[in-house]
Amino acid sequence: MNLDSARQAFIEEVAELLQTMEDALLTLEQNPADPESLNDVFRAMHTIKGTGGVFGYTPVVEFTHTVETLMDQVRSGQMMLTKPLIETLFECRDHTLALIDFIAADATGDAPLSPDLQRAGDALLARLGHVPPPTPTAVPVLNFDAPTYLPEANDLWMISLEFKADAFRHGMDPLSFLRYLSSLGDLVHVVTLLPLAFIDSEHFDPESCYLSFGIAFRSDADKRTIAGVFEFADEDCEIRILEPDSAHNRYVDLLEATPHDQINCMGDLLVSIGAITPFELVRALKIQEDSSQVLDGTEPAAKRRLGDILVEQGSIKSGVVEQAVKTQETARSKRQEDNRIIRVDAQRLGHLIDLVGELVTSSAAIRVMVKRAGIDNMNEVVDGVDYLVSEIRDNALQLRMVAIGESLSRFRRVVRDASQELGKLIDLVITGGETELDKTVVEKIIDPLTHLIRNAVDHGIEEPMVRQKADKLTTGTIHLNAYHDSGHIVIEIEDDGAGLDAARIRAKAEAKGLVKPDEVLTREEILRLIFAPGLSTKEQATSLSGRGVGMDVVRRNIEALRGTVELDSTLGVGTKITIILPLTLAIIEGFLVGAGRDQYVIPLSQVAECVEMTATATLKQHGEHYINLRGEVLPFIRLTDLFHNADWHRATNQRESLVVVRFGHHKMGLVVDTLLGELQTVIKPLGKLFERLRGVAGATILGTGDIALILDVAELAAIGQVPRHVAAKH
Amino acid sequence: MSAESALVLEGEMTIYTAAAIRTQLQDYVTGRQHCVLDLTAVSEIDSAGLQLLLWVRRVAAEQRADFQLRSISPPVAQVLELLQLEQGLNLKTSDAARKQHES
Amino acid sequence: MAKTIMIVDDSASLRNVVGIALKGAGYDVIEASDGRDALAKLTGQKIHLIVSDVNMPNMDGITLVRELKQLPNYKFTPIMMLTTESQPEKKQAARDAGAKAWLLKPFQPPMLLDAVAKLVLP
Repeated sequence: MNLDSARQAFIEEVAELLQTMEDALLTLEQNPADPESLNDVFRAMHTIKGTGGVFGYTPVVEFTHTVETLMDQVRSGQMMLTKPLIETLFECRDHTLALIDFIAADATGDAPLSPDLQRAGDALLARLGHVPPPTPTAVPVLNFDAPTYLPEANDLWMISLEFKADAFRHGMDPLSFLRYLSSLGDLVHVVTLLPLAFIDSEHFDPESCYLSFGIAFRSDADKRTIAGVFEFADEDCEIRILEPDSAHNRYVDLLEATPHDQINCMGDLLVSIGAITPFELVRALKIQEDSSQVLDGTEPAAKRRLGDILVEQGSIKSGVVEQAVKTQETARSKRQEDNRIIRVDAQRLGHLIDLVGELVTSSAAIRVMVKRAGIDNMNEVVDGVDYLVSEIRDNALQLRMVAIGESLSRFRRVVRDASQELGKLIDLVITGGETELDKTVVEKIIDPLTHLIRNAVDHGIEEPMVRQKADKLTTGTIHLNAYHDSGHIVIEIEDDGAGLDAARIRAKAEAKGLVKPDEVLTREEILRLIFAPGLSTKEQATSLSGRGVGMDVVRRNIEALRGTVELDSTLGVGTKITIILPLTLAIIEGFLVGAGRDQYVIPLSQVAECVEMTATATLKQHGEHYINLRGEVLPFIRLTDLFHNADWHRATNQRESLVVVRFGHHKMGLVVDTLLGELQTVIKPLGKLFERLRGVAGATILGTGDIALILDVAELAAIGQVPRHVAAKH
Repeated sequence: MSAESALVLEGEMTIYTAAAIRTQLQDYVTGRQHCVLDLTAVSEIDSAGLQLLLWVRRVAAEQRADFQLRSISPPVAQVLELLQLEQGLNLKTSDAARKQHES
Repeated sequence: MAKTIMIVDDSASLRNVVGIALKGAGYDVIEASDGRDALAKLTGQKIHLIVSDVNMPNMDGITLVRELKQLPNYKFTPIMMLTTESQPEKKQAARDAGAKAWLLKPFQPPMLLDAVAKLVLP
């Protein structure tokens, strides 16, 4: 039994549904009566139960069934949604995920549930008010409660039948339908479920029907015929029929072949090719109508997509709906077609971006060659190519851009769980979720961010009592904000908690030997010490944010992304951490300068201005260089001094230029020989050999074929402030 | 496990007899360690009857008793075969059943 | 053991055709000419399916369904109504009364056998 595509799709679908459920639960915590969220939770459980039933995942069906039943009572107002209940529902959501993970990890597909998982599930159900029967696993003869899964072959119909209590009373005999079904094909596998977990034997009513069936069915019959078997049971049974992949492919082919002038609406289209039955369509249309009526009272919301409803009901696979949507859209306007989302392998995208990078370099080379050859009438062409290349580059990079919001919203759960564990009241406010950045950057920034947010919860925000005494609101706030700023993304984590105690940090750092008692440090520098290895500001480390060893890792991770992290804090008022990251790691806008025999690239976004250097304005203090720029004292570094590459052929009286660069809130000057202008450049990482080299972020190949080093301004600043270390380093 | 401890059900096991059979099964299973059903004389079985078998199997499991179908009539066999429930309801194959008698 | 089906219709020729078709498929058949006749003929014997017309003299099909639901020996017996396209409301009324299966008139015997087989195999 292999993990085939259907099962994989199910697992992915469950992950999405559970995310929706989590979001809804978070909303319900604020507003327990929100009808949309109540529906979302119900629907998530309902859909997982239904599809899980098709595969015969009994533990999933039984568990989600109970939660679904409960949510139905909540929806209809029979039960109050209390805080503890929401808490339990969060755990139910997590347990469902654990069940699915268990199934996903189980290659054989028929391992019994681990005792731990079983116990956890029973405990949760007990908290929901249901008494599960004692686990019969103690009786070895009876292993019938071990889940039996349907084989997930691609050429089988998957049918799930869930009969309602009144089925027998209405003269329905499920066995009759199955007998008839067996006359149309082969019942390859049948799972019969008696989900009595929520009914004790005393209340078992032998005249009520509790049965449900999962059937893997091999047949050449079409969907209409198969659905027809159950036509008389439609009121007494929830029927789901999923077509085999072969039929699925046939539908897609039929949809593609349908002439565009014959397309009216989605439902008719699907019925016409036999993908759904007219009854399924009627039922879905009714649900669509009901859902839009519910919303009528509040605001005119968009109708739910029919296709979504059909997929949710288990009438059809989403692939068919997608194809139907495609056909429908093509019919409306052929140009709308490319609005559909295509999933692309990230590696292929990465390769494309690499190629575009090479193209940028080649294009720069052409410009240089044309200039050198003096072909004036080529300039217009070169400009055109340049323009196109930069457009291609922007578009290629755009492909990998994602809104950061999706990744940030996971922190709502982190904050919620952490604050509950610590008995704190915390609001997480997220703004700027629509800010886009490179997916590869997003992936790498999540870990450091998680750490910083946990820190804010753990060490930042105080207990409600403490806050009350300090005359603050008992509920603390953590504000997560993201925005674009000159080619960078800025992420701020701000809390209104206790703030950092500079004196204590200093004392601690001295005790650890990180600073000498007589060393003069600014407040800012002291605060930055928390990024030093081995410094924990809170005496007692908690399980949540660990022992403070993480802060230097956080800084290193951010700096590895060519980013910087800034920290500002006021004791008793709060802490603000600002992370500045490049939007992408692949290409930067650079400013090319010449110093000595070499050329260097400074990230353009960090260039503040360029001024002419005059010797008189400089002064030396404790072996460090400063310049007076319009009354502002700036430290500066002469690149030829730093890299020991002064060009002795150059006349000493030749004018130098000062490039003022900024990083975070700091500014410094870089003295260079010549300013060569802006360029787009592809970053080539330096080899392992040079990875200890400070002040250099990478290299790039110029159009002329020369190599230029890309400067890491933040590191240069560190070197500039302590110039004596540079020598030691080399 | 002696033969006389088995519960012998006769006639139809359908929705019309479900309530009565449920009582019969409950009385039989209560307090018993080994539950053996003999369905040789069952003339007809429908979903309600099948549901009773699944239910009593579970009741037995809840009280840590083992459960076995000793022998079944053709109508019952047909249903169990259709639903592939022979193993799930611990039906003794004819071979095993014979051994049971010998011991 | 053959399954028994009762066919209730005021048209003798329809009963005749249906009877022949069902017997041919292996069912036992009991015929009744209307609702009252049907109730009179239900004397405790096992019936696996009742196929009934809606519009009949003396007692119509829907009343018959309601009566059947009161009889301990027949309250769980599946009932298939023979309805016409022109009277969808009758079909709904029959469903509400507890007859969940239906067959549209006019029908050919194979259609009837097919519909019947979903509820009771011979």
